[in-house]
Amino acid sequence: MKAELVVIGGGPAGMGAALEAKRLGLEDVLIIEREQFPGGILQQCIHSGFGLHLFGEELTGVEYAQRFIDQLGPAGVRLLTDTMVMEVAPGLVRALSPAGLIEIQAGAIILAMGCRERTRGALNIPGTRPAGIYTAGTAQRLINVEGYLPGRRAVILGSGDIGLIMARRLTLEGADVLAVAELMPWSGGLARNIAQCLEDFAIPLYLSHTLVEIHGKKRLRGVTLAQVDEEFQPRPGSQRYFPCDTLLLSVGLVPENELSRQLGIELDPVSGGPRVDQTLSTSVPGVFACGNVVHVHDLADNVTLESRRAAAGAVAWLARPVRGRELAVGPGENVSYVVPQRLSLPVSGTVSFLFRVRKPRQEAVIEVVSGGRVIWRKRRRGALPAEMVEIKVPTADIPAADSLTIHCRGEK
Amino acid sequence: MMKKTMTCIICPLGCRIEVEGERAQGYSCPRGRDWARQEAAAPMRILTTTVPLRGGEIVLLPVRTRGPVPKDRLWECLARANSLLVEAPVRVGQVVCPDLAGTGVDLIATRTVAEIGKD
Repeated sequence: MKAELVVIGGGPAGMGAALEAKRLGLEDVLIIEREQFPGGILQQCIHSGFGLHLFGEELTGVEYAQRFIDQLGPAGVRLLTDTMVMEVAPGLVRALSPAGLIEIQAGAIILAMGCRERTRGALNIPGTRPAGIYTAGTAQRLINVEGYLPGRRAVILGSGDIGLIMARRLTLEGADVLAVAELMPWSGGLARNIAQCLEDFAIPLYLSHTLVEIHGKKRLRGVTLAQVDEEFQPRPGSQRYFPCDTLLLSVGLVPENELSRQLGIELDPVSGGPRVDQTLSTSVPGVFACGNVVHVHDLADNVTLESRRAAAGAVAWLARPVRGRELAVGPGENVSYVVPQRLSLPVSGTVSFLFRVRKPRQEAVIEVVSGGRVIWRKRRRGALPAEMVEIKVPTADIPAADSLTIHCRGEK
Repeated sequence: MMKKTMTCIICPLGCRIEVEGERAQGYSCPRGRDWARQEAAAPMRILTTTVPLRGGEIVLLPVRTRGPVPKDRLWECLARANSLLVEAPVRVGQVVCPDLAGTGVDLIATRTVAEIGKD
């Protein structure tokens, strides 16, 4: 089999990239999706809050996905479902489909595999190993897609958006959510989700708290939470026991990059995804990446926008497979990572930089520095680690230097 | 007049808005201002849930209220939604229960689902 462009993953990133590539005139675009239906994780996101930026209306995740699914056929995008990519090399994709092993010659490849949830194993939680412990996304799938309620009394560890959404979802399905515990002194989720998922249902949020023990042998019996000090160590005497049969973990997402590693793509240890340039080109020529496989986004709308840039990059590369001199982009004060991690010169128009701050700032000043000189500066009302920050820098301001550093200064 | 402080749920910005009577401050868009006034007077929410689906290629149909319903009637709306059984095929946007629990707001499907065995 052959395709000008092979897109790995049929979630918002993959569908957005494939549709944009068709719009830009590519003849032959193929999406490979391992699930039965396209849509990715959006198919279990039955809650609203999607599409405000892109469609100007508030949609559920499922509706947001449907908008793209409905365009695939008319646009002429080829779609292989129930098919899992096993191996990628430049120009070649091997996948396992219901018909057996298939090989696809690919002009260009876009990686759009999304991300996975961090599990209990990544946290070193002491205690026994009973049933009843789920990642929040697994519980979401059980409830919203498969129709099973994982338990009756739940505690949620981590205040990321999925955890908050699941606190409300469990409540609506008749379970009691006793507590949401967050290690940091601030929430990992959006303020509106604290309001509409916790406060609406009087679910307590315990900041600066962690899980210190899991109880129960066959089935979870309860958990012990404790307050932590500035070094994140449990404060003696602050332990509190919560009897529950279910524990949900909402403790972060990790880009899913097994295939990228196989390709020998350079990864950014902080974002967890491939190091890309402004066209979303990875370090391997002809291989592009977009969406949560690059870095975890808070909004599907932003994933779609990024996927369109990746499609444009792939289409341009197919027409003219050359790459220019590079300029490194890096995080500075109070910035954990920046995407893109490099610019391929020449650049034109404006360049979007997406980044996350390490610590919350009430009043923030974003600075782009090159060669010790501030080349671009903007004030911003507030910056939170839970919210991705985007700046658009006119390329006329970017000197032909070797590197750029992005800082987020300001009052705590 | 009582002053109410709230977190706007209209968009991901999550503005802190204070409302005192008709006066609102802290919002950054007209939608936020209107939402805050409504929230101070009578809070409204969009309900999203699932209903059982018969004969479809999936077993649960995701649904939502077309617009917001009074927050204090959320549980009634949910009980009504839980009593439904929908037959496939279903188109996204299709009304699965008109005038949900007498709120005047329709419950609509949020996903297109084909009949099982048919594409």
